[in-house]
Amino acid sequence: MLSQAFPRLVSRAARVSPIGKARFSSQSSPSVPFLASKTAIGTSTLLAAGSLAWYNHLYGTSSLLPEASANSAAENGMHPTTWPFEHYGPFETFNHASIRRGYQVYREVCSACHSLDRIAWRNLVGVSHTVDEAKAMAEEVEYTDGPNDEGEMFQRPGKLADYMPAPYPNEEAARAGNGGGLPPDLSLIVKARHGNADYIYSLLTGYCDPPAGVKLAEGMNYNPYFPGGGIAMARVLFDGLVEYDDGTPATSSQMAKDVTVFLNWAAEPEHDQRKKMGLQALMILSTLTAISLYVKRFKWSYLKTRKIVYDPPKPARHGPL
Amino acid sequence: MAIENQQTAAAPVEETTSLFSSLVSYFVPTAHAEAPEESDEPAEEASEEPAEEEEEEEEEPEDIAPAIREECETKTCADHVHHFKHCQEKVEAGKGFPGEDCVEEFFHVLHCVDACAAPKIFKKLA
Repeated sequence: MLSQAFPRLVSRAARVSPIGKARFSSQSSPSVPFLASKTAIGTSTLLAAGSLAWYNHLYGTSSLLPEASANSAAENGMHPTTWPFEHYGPFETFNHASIRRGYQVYREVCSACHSLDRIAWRNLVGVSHTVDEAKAMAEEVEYTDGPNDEGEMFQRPGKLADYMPAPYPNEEAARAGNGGGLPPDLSLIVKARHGNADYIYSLLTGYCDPPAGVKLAEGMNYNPYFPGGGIAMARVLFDGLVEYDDGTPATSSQMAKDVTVFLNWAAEPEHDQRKKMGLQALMILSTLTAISLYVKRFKWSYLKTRKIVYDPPKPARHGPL
Repeated sequence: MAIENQQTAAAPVEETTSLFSSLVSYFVPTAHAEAPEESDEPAEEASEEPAEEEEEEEEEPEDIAPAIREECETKTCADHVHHFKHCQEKVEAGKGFPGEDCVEEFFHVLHCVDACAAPKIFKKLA
């Protein structure tokens, strides 16, 4: 065993000490094991150098060197700061007026390229619009339904249960319409990006001239918040692009904020309910804690307030016997 | 039949107001977006807001963000802007090392300006 693992050690030990020699006499023939021989060393060195040379010949020397990693500040994108959205507090709901305005921005601006597959008209009811408003909006869109009695598909006005219409029938059409870039579906976009709502707001308002030395591919726009800097989407929000029903001035910051809140709602429709449930849980748990503390004191009061008095026996008049 | 259906449809709405939920709604008021209430809200908003906005509504509204950001650039973030400008001049004059860009300097400016401007901008948004 030992001689197999460390052939040189063993053979040297065998050579040096006569005791060792005596002990390993059964194995220690004067011939060195092959792996310890000079031939083995020479061959393996040649093999290593040869494979290195052959690899370099095939793939080039640089293939062995570490390559540039995509980890610079520009490649990661600018990290968005925390924008103080109203719904960020632990007990805060969405700003629903903002959701309503944000829907308008989505409908009039974003929906030209971006789908919102997972939101149905009914989802808007009670969140940003009334039933009647949502129904009226759904009816403006034509949906294919069927088959009817004759086995044919037909067009009908939308219902509350229909999902938001997509701008393109499929991904290829979307790419073809946008110079090869695919506008992502926005249903879960807030959850799907690092920085969440902060990122969306920063991205929408962050378009600017590229700093010196930045080269953009053709058809790309510079946005520091987008990883890599070059984004296929151009700046879309300009002051006064939409006209809000409630009279809020439609500046680009305002529209960006509204549409971000809307998309945050689309990604987390359970948000308000979740925080309400959190508060309910707090109510119940704190009440139970208070009750249990009170009950504990109540139950223990009997034990805690009792007094153990040691009343030693009176010494006998005549002393111990 | 139609009337019956309506009644059965309306019944669950009443059922949801159990003891617990009414107790909860006592502490945590809920806004219901039924048609009449919704029609109230815009009226309130409309009565509150025009005072500030009538001036702006006439023409194209002007964004408050650029002015706030510029103020941040000149005051809080002057150091970062100085470095960024230095880099810009160097690279544009072709004195930088090959492939040099000013992205990092620019990010430092942005990092500072964003942190400075974010609360100020959001304070002025509806």
